[in-house]
Amino acid sequence: MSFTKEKIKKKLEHAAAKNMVRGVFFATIYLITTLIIPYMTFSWIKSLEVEGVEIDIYQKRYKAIIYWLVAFGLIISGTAFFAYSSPANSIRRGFFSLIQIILNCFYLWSYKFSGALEVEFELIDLGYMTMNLTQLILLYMGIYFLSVILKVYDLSDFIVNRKKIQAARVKGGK
Amino acid sequence: MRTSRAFRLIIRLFLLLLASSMSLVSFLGGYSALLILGDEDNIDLDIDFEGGVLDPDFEIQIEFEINNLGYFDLEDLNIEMKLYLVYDWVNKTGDGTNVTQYVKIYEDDKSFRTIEAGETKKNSITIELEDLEKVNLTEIVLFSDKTRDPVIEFVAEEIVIQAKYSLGLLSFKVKIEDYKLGELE
Repeated sequence: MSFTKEKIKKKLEHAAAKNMVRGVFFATIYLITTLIIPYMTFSWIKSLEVEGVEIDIYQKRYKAIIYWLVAFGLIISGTAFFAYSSPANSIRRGFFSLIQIILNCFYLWSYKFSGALEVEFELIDLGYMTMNLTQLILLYMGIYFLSVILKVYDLSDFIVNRKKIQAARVKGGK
Repeated sequence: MRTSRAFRLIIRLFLLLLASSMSLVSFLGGYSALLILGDEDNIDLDIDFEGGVLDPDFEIQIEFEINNLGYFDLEDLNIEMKLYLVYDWVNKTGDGTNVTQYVKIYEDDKSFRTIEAGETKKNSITIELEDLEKVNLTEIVLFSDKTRDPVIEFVAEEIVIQAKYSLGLLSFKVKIEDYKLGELE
């Protein structure tokens, strides 16, 4: 009896360490995709030359875009850690995944209120260039909306079938 | 596996596929923009004048060539133009007072065919005397300050170029202001 208990305890400890590593891995992925890549892209656009003409993104707008990128990028990466380090099919994972998806929606929406949806550049001594990303962002929002529905369904499934899932986890050591 | 879980897995895979293809389209769109705009030779603009403003065969020909090196078609290309004549009216409000005048001579917008990916296309806009707005050109020539260099300037007060890219998901607008097209001595 005690041998079995010991075995289960060891399995759970091993699974916990695995979950932590997975959490850190996914948090890093989210940090790269939601913060570092967009930050580098906007920084690169800021110093771009088009047809030999220097372009300049409005400083005020650039600051607002970067502020919201950093703010949401950090929160999303944080929740990604909690979501992915939680045991599979657990309420905790379902809850954090849902929060994460909702935050992703806010993150995309932040592109709108920070002005990144319609990026305006100044073509030095020539005029202006406006890049409109509305259609693209709206399509992403559609995908996230479907993901929210899926996550809500997941969460309710985890709650309703909690006992079955817990039993299966103890059996499988996850 | 329960039916509902299998169904959710299919939806998840579909969403993953959709999100990945969207990311790919965005990336290729950005990369295409870099390919096209990065080299000055990919967009060529040529402006020609024929005859003087009072000649019946007066013509402005604006030719532009775009080399679409990107991965997507350049759709709904539209160019909007407002052209002005700029000159100094001699003694406009009194002796020795020359006032700079801006006279609108042309305002129109033109749409062009889609430029397919990898294709180079040349388009042109020809503005003839009858396309110009009704302005008294004789009066302009008569009262313009002949010592001004140049006597009369052709200025595009606004050139707006609009198009869609990346399967219509991205659209851009370039607004060029006060662009000098030519001059008449």
